[in-house]
Amino acid sequence: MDEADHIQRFLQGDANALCELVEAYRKPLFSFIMQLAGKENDADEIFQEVWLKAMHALPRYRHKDRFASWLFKIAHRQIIDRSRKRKWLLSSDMESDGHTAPEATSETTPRDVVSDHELGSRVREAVATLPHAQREVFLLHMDADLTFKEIARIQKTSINTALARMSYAREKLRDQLSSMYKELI
Amino acid sequence: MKTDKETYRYAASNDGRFDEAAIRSAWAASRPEPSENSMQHLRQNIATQAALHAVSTQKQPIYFWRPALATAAALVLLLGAYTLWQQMHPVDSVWQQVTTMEDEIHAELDALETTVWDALAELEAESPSNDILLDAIALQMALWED
Repeated sequence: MDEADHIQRFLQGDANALCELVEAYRKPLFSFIMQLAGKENDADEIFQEVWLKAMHALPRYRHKDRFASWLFKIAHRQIIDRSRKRKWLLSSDMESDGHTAPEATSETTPRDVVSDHELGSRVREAVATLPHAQREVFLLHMDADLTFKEIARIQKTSINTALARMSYAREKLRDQLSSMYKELI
Repeated sequence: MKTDKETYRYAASNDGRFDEAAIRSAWAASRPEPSENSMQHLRQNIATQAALHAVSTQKQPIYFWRPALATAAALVLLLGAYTLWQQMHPVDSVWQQVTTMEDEIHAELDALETTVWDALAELEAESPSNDILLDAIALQMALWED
């Protein structure tokens, strides 16, 4: 998809051009927001707000960053703004890479876990237990397909920190998925 | 294509591997979506915003007039400021005053010169024996005149 062309067409008044972009990012962006916001209603509102902000900011978008990186940066800021207003996230969770993750809330049995098409949602539940910063790195990597350089820029941190956060996230996910797997065999 | 169970095995493997491709695939399949109501609302917003962009694009030529208008306004302001400054600092009248003063000084000098020559003529008539002194004074006057 030629995003620059879509943006140009939208700025000339072609609504469909942006609708196509929205459609392309519909699932990844909403998934990212949903996983960080936690509530579907909030995620819906943030999704709207992100696109509204993007629409207003598009005339100033200079293609210096990839569109995905630019868009998810807006989402990142919007989630933080909203979380500050609603106090979703504890500041310690925002700032630390704490190794103590809360317990998964799933009550499904291991048998359910391996049922077809359930793996994604089990992984999703495991991801939900990660500390915010690690969860965000994981989501930006998986949903937005951003490089660690781009992720580091969004989180205003170093590449090494972003890589370390991903490494911790993988470790914790592996532990959680491993315990589920061991119950199956 | 791995099954979910195989994916789990890779994800849970203890050799340090994390089968990201498989997890990514499962992850993508389970992505939630915004509600259709939300999408409808967003499409309406996009249509409105696109219309606004279209209008602003059409109005764009007006931007070319802005520098011209700004320049004209600046010129008018400069002209007004110059006129005001001129009224507050009337250069011509100052020069006129200087010229008048100069003329007056010249007139006074002429009058003084005439008075001196008259006085010399009178002195010469009264004391013809002071020729040398009078010549000296006349010479001094001639030099002064030059």
